[in-house]
Amino acid sequence: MPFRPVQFLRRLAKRHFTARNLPDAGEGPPPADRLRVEAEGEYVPSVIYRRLEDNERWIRSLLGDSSDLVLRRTQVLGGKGTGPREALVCYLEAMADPAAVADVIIRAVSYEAGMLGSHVRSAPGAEPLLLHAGSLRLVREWREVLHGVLSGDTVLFVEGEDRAVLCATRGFETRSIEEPALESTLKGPREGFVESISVNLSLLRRWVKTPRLCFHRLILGDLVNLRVEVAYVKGLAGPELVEEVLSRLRRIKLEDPLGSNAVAEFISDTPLAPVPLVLATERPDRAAAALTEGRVVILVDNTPYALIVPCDMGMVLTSPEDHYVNSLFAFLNRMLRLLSLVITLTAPGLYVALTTFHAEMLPTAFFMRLQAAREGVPLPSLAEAVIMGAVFEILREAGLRMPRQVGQAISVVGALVIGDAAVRAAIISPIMLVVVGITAITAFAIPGYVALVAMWLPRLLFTLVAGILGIFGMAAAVTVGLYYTLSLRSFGVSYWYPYLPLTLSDLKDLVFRAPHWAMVRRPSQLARGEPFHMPYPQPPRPPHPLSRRPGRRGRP
Amino acid sequence: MRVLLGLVAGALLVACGGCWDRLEPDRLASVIALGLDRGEHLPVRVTAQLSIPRLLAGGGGRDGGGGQGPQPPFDNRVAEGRGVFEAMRVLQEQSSRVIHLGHLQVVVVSEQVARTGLAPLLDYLTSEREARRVVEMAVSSCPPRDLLDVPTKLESLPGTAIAERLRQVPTTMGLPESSIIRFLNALHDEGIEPFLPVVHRVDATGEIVDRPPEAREERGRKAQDRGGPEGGGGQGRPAADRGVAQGGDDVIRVAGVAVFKDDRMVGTLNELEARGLAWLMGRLERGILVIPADLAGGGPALLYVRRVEAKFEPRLDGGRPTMQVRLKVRADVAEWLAPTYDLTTAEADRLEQAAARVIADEIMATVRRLQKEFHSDVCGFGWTFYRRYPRVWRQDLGPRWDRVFADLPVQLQVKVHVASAFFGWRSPGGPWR
Amino acid sequence: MRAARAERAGGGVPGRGQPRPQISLSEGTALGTCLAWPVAVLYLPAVVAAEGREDGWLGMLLAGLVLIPVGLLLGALAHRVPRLGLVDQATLALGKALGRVVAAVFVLGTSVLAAYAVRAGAEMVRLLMLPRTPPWVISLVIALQGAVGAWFGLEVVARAAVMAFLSVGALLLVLIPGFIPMFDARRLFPVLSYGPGPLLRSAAVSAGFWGQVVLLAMSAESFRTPAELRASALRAGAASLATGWLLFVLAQGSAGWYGVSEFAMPNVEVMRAVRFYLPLFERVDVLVVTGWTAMGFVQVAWLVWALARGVSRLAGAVDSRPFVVPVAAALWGASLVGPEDLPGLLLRWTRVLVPLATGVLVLTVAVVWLTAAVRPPAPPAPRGARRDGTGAVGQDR
Repeated sequence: MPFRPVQFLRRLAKRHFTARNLPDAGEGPPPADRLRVEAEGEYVPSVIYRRLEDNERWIRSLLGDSSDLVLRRTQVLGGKGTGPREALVCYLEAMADPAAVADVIIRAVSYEAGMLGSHVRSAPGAEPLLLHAGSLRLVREWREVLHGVLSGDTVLFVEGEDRAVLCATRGFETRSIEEPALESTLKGPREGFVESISVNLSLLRRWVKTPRLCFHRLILGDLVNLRVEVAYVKGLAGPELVEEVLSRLRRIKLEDPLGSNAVAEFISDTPLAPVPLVLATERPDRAAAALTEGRVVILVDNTPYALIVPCDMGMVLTSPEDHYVNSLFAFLNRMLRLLSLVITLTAPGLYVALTTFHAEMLPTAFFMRLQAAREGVPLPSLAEAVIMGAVFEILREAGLRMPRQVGQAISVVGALVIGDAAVRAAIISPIMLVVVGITAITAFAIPGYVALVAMWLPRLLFTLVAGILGIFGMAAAVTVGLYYTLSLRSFGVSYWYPYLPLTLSDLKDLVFRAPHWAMVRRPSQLARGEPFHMPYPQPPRPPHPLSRRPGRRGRP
Repeated sequence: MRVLLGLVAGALLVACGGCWDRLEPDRLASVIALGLDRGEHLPVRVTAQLSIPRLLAGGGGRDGGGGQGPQPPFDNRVAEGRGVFEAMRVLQEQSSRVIHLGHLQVVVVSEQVARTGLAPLLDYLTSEREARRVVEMAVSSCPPRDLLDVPTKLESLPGTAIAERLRQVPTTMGLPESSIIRFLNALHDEGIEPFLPVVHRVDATGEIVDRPPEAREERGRKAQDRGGPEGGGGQGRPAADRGVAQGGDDVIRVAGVAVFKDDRMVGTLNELEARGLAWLMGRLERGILVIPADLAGGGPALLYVRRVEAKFEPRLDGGRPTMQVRLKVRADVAEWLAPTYDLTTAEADRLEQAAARVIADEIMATVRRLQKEFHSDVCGFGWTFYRRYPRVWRQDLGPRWDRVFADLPVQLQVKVHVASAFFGWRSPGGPWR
Repeated sequence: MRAARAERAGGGVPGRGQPRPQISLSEGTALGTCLAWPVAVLYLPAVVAAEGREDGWLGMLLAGLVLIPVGLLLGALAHRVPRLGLVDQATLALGKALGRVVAAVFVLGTSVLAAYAVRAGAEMVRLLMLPRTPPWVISLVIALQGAVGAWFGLEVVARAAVMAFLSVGALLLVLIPGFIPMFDARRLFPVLSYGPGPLLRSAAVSAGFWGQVVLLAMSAESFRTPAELRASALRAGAASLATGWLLFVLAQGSAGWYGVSEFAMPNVEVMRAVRFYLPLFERVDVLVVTGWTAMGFVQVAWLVWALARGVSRLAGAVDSRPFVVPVAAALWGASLVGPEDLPGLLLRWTRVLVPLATGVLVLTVAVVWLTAAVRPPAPPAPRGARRDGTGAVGQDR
């Protein structure tokens, strides 16, 4: 084939410009695979045809003759005085519920209209419709028809009409509501989000039954048409926050965002930060609590995780368990978690720094044991710490991929080989093993898998610096890390939000966990509209014995 | 982001130079105890007790540790030099590991060196960044090398045994602990001189070894003066007739106090005189006071001292300084080996006066010795004078305090209050307050 | 994303879409304390004890009186010429040429204090923690982390100051009881037995150190109201003075004035003698020194930021970020100047240089204020008008 540079360049340009001119993720569904259609040079109509043959041909060409496309010709009852008219029912077998579709078709062809629901006479010439199939919409545009069919709806074309009927017949399999895998609680509810976004919406609605709960739908990605719902409580969440979230979502030009993490990375302020700036949670009660605080929740189809923005450190360290146990226990647990965070970041570094730079700090008896334990170990402490840390991370990764049957053997192998045998062979010192074990356990104590995975990089850096310059170096590294995390913001809210800037009234939920009857105010930064959720604290009190009116509570 | 990368690059650059201060623990030789002595060829001889960690931990606990196994878990090394710095340097040259003073527990000084002056040693220890300031110090009557070689059963290292024993000094002897910082404080403060406890090596029968013979006679004489069994604030008792613990860790004994003037030792106080000093320091709590039979009436009594309050009142009577010391002691009767068991009020009074007399005798003996023989104000009279009359002190008394102290009239007033008696299951009977 | 990053870079000079940094009262207090306390509490006791003998503790207390006019001065100046940093205030009040000169004097004084701070911190670390490490490495680390902090901006440094303040406060609360067994109040007396000389000398030196709170003038524009600036300065002065004085009293009570004057860093020395019967750490001074360095780091970071601001404003630049790295490098170089040994540092610099520099700074601020009071300047053009940064959602209060 002769090489025609001009044609080649033109085609390239067309492709380039075509990609550039892709519409932003908008309110409605863009046509599927516009690129391909454009390349074939065919005209893309925007509204449906009146003639059934045209519609049928167009649908076949758009959906590419895929095997799960079902087209059925049938007849529907006409209006008064008209005969039955031809109709075309079209659905995707993989997505639609066959029973529901059968309902639609059967009802549509049934002549006993009186038994089957009300007639709808919406416009002159419109056929009587049977409201038996859930939600029903009249659509004109191909974009909507396609999106509906691809989502599992059934479309009914009628000969001669310029509008089609889209019936909701979704019937694909979805997982049932189960306990969340990573965020289980002992005393709280055991429901977690599932992959189907409508089920998730219903879960949220159950928790926040107010008319002010708004869901704003967005469809992202030309290739996947991912449905994203943005949930917030109108009047409670700051309008700038909602606007910002929506604008960031609309800016996404990715063709195929797959899952909530992709979306989160796009809207996060600093996606490369080791700490999450957009919190992903599997629990509806956590999402509902965020909603009532004035935050915005983003639900993404096909992922059982809801995204909560803005996210701050208090949220990351808070486990939902805290709200279902005694507030004293909750406070102690939170302190433990904070301590665990500190330990997991600094333990190997501290060990290396103290033993190699500041040996005089340790108690003499311990130091002698340490010296004895390290006799004959070939590696310097720093190398030991780094290598053992790496080994632990490898073990953790391997544990994720392992089938359950093999898991037991591998864990035994891991413990034996790496732990015991290595110590006996004096390749590593036993105290190092203890330190690594402590680091690992405290890493697991922090709620949220994300924090666990993200911690090893700062930990490694701290260890390396500690190995070079001792505790001073470690202090400098920690300070730099502090500067970095202090500079992080999540949607305008500083990451250290309730701690710094110091807002004492907000601390009551994040350091202590004040008893529920004392939490009068909402977090001040978020709930702009309505700072109070209670008029006054209402500690439980026995009824005053002399009062006539029983149970007058609260302040007089 | 770039800033971060720049930082990491900078850090790596720095690391390329090497880690200057990094010392693996197994490259360190910890010095547990130091002994300072006069050398044969050179002025200073340092004995350092290095711990051998390999043998310490492998012994499986305490039993295998202390010198009973095939090889003791420590090594006493000796080095000589013209000064402490040089001796330590020689020591380092002989060692395959880096000498580390961070875990130094005790420094033992021989009498000879103490008489020459401790300033160089203190200088060395304070300028060393690693040594702790709570390192115990003591003067030893035998050569430090022998002291650091004593066999111990409870502790794994002799140095630890000596250090722990010295840490018991506040409890057993009633004197403040003898750490470096306390010595330094006493050295710096005006009007007070430092002191250090004296450590002896004791053989199996309880005899102190390597004591100069005349000292032994002198102590025997003093024991006869008192008559009867004497109490000690713990274990310091003359060898004549007493309970002796055989075996065990009683191979070292802390008895007596070395009196210093500035940083030079000028003499020793024996155990009784040390107790007199302890009364003045006001810390002799939980000590035992024995009152001989003739004073107590009936039989000897053992009093358990609960609390001591010492007040110094300096006075200037027309330019002549006098010191008035008031002592308030609260004690309980622990044992009273008298034929009659009832302790009436009169008897209690008598006991109190007897106790007061015994205490006063002890104190005055000490003070007299300090004044006449040593001219060293260890008890801190001058300090109180300075606090009270700073101008007079600065102009007149301070510069010549040695001589003033030697002739200082000291009035002692001791009040003992016997609060209760331990009579076990028997009721006290009789009027009792 | 760029918008978010720009919003994050809130520490720059107002302009180019960057919102002006804002500091609250508590942040300002913590910042002021971090400026005065770290170095003072290390080296000042030795000098004060040497100068004041037994009266050192009284002299230090007396120096607190100096802090009151300093705080009032800062507030008054911010009242006269609001919403601007010192350089701009000087330029506005005294005219371009003279104002620049005066401001340059202030910046020079700040740089002297900054170099001293870096050097003093490096010496302390070298002596106490890393004796064999070459001093330039330690200074480099300090200057580097200062550069990072200054790069992230004033708000980040201020918040880090709050954290350092709280952690050091907690540390001190835990450790101060350890001094008590050795403390003997009689060592503090007799007082005034040498006449007023030692008292005044020690007060003068102390004032030179605690008066470093005046450096807050550089970030005067970041306080919401002049009253907050004044309150911050006063509280910071009070906090640093109170803790520094307490530590000095404890040190003198534990070691006597002669003992305190003998050591270069008496507080640390006395802390070494604290015997903490905790099974975990036997020598707590390394922990304490680490805690101290926390505040020292924040101090250096703020100084780098202030110098970058000052230099950039003197040069007329709007954005001070590009100046951060050169300033940090210059600071590092300057801190390597001088005698290698600590006593030399102490004698030559601490006793003379720091009080002198602080005095010059206070004088400068007083001059600017006087001029502004006598001849009120026209209100400045809203060049630094606060805008919510693009893409920012919500502000901290």
